[in-house]
Amino acid sequence: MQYFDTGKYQVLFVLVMVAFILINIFRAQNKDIFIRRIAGLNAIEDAVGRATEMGKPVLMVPGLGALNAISVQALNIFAHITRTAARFASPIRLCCGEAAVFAVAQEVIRDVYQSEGVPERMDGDSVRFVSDRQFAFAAGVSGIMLREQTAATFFMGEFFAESLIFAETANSIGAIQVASSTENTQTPFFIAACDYVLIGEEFYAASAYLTRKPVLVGSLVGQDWGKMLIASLILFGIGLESSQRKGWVEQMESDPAAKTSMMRLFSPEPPDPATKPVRQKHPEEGEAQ
Amino acid sequence: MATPQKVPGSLNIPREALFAALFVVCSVLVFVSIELPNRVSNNSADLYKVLKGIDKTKPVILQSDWTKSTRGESGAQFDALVRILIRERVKIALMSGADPQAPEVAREAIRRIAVETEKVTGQPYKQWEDWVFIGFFPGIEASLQSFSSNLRNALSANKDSDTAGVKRSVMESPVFNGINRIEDISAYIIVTASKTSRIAIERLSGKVTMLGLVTGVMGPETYNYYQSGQLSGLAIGLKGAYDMESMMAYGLNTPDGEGVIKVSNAKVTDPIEGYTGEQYVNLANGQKYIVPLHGAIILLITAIVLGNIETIRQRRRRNG
Amino acid sequence: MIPWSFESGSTPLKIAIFVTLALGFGLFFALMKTPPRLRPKIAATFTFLAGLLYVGIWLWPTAHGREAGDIPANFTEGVAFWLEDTQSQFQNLSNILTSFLLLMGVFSLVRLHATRVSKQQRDWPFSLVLLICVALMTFIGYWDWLTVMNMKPEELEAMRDVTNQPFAVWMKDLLFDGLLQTMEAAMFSIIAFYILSAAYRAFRVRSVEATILLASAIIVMLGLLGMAENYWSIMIDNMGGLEDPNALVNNLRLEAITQFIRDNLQTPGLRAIDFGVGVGALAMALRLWLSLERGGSTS
Repeated sequence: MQYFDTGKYQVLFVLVMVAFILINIFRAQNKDIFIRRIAGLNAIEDAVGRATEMGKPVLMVPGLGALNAISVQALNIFAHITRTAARFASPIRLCCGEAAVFAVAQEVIRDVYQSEGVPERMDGDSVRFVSDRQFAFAAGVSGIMLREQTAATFFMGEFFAESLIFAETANSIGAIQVASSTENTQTPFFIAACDYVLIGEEFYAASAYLTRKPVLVGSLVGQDWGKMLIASLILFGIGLESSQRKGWVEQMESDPAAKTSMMRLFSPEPPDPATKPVRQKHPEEGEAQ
Repeated sequence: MATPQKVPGSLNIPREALFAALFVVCSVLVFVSIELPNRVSNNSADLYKVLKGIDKTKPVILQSDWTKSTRGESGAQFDALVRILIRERVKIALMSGADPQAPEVAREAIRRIAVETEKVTGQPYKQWEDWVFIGFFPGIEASLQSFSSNLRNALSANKDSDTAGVKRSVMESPVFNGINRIEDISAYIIVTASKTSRIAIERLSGKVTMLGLVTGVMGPETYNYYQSGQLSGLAIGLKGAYDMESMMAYGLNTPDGEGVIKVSNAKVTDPIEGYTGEQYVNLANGQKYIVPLHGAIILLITAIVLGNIETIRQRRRRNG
Repeated sequence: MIPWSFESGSTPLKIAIFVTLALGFGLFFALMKTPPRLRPKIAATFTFLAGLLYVGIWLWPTAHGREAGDIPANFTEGVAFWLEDTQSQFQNLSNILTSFLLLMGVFSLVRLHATRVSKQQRDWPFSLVLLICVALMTFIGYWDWLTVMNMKPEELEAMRDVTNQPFAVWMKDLLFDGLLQTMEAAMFSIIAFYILSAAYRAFRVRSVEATILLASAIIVMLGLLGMAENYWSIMIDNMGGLEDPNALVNNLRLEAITQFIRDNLQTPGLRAIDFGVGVGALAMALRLWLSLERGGSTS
């Protein structure tokens, strides 16, 4: 019997996470919250500096994903890189594989040059739409890398099979590669072939570290609270699971994958008709039916 | 934060030599036709079990998101899957969400396998009556969300040609007889080379039995969802395709004429029949491509071992 | 009837298109006249409203067992029905928007390469090839589409025989299936070569961690080889694994080791990263939806 619709946990869980993030954004407005710096982010400055010394362009690729939170985050980081490049007067190349991302990227990069007071340094062709076909995009970007001999390359966003093509091509021309993908499947390829890799959520944390804006720092701390909540839920689940195993080993063995407590907590099963208790019908109502 | 350092001068075997070796190994082995021994993975065995026990009175929705670029893995998996579905006379609602080229590739495969199966069973498997193409959905996330809310509403505007060549709403097709909601179908199967399987799981999990057939690269990530029970069965990469083909050819845990069990699995222990009729095509591209895969992996391991011997030697030289 | 939709070719549809077009232009000019100070607020309001729809879909109770032609029984159901129906219209809207943005992308691409050809800048012949390909693919694509659209069912049936294909269809097959797809497959297969060289470079016994990584990688790779798994298993069988299914030696089967690595090391690791990514995406989405990063990424 289910006394409480466990499906509601899902909603409650997300609302708690949202509350954590909002509370911390509010806290950060009034208070300086400390966050540790990720060493790899220093590499961004170094890489742009190196490109300036060599007089070669900086290449940025926001991945193949559609215009979503991931590509917007990639553009946030690229805005910071472009700002550094604009100060050093280094040329940039930003290659897009998705038209919507391209449209936003153009605006973002133009804004950066304007806010730095050097709109004349912006090259109209620095933000390019290459192709929305995965491997045509891979071939196009590799071609740009080889022809223009880019000195620093940044691959951040949603990458798929093309990640290794980019990373190895950049490696072959001796460019510094800083990469980050939220796709777990591509992170190993980046780690094998790139100089610096931001793993998983470090990608989302990057702009908070780089800009130190209270909204971003606060939301980062809120995320950490959320992760602590998840970790404690996992511990709670381990407890439940252990007690359940002790109690109903036989029942568990019948279908262990689908019946763990955690699984039930987050995806409640419809009640099993077989478990319905046999009820006596009220004589009058029984007749009416 | 991972910062692998480049060892100066570490690439002692020139890159070109490695490339040439791989090219030679793969091109030669693709022409070698031998049946390699195989041990079926638990996830493939579960997939086969669910497919063989599927409710034949209800259709499956088959989301096909692969194109010619991953035909080695996804193509072999798709062929094996469609062979099982057509032989079991399960109705298919085909759709795509990742690539505009994907529907054509999948339709072509279904038509080809329908003809191939008809030659053996004598029963045709016709478009509109037995299978229907329900559309290409570029915004797959929003589309699956609307499938989840109300399948009939989400699909009623989509059209396919009926047997007379007239374009009609796909919901009028015999495939969708008595189907209104996503919960009414027997399974949601996704063959993909990208992360669309994750999107489908996010939107539909818990409402319908879900099965996945993914490429080797997507394997580790998708395996998460198999382990959590959100996917009831999963085929990963070429090994998954070869597993399916082996189970189709010899059955799972079923003894052959001489009483020998050729394909067994530790997790799925009940005997499940294969398609042992001689005219059936069971071993196909999975078997053909697993040989070059073996060659490529052995080459990869050899290269890694050689590289490490070189590293150890360099270290000794430095120290001594 | 589904809200926001009209019968194809009907007068109400034409009126709706006209009114929407007029409204669109009106909005466009109104926005141009708005003081720049107000513009971010308007954008924020639109973003919030658009996001609100999906939040509503997620939080509002779903109508149970709805069938075609049902009339909502009460207010809650009414809202649920409206949300369900509006969703598919929203999806169409985003598809249409994406198509227009694609035009922008193509325009930028063509402008860049046309300039390069006209000024005969470095590598201009490549740009010329690109322009010719874009034009040819577009032309053949549309020609094929029009040809097939105007065909009768029996002609379509006859086309299954390749020799009966009209020129446009044949040409499209040649360009798309014969060239484009094959070239894409070739690009994809390049990855195999890069995996080899990257693995050769990266998997070295440099430290304890790297050695553990190397060992587990080799075990997992061997696990992909059915042949290796099989012979390894025969070895374990001979060591007494076959007689006693509970023998300790059975844990040393290749598939048992790979399964252990997969279930207990790889998957939990990936899952932990996924949790972090998920929470990060939630925070990012929240900041975007509520327009919390005033001035966007460039301020």
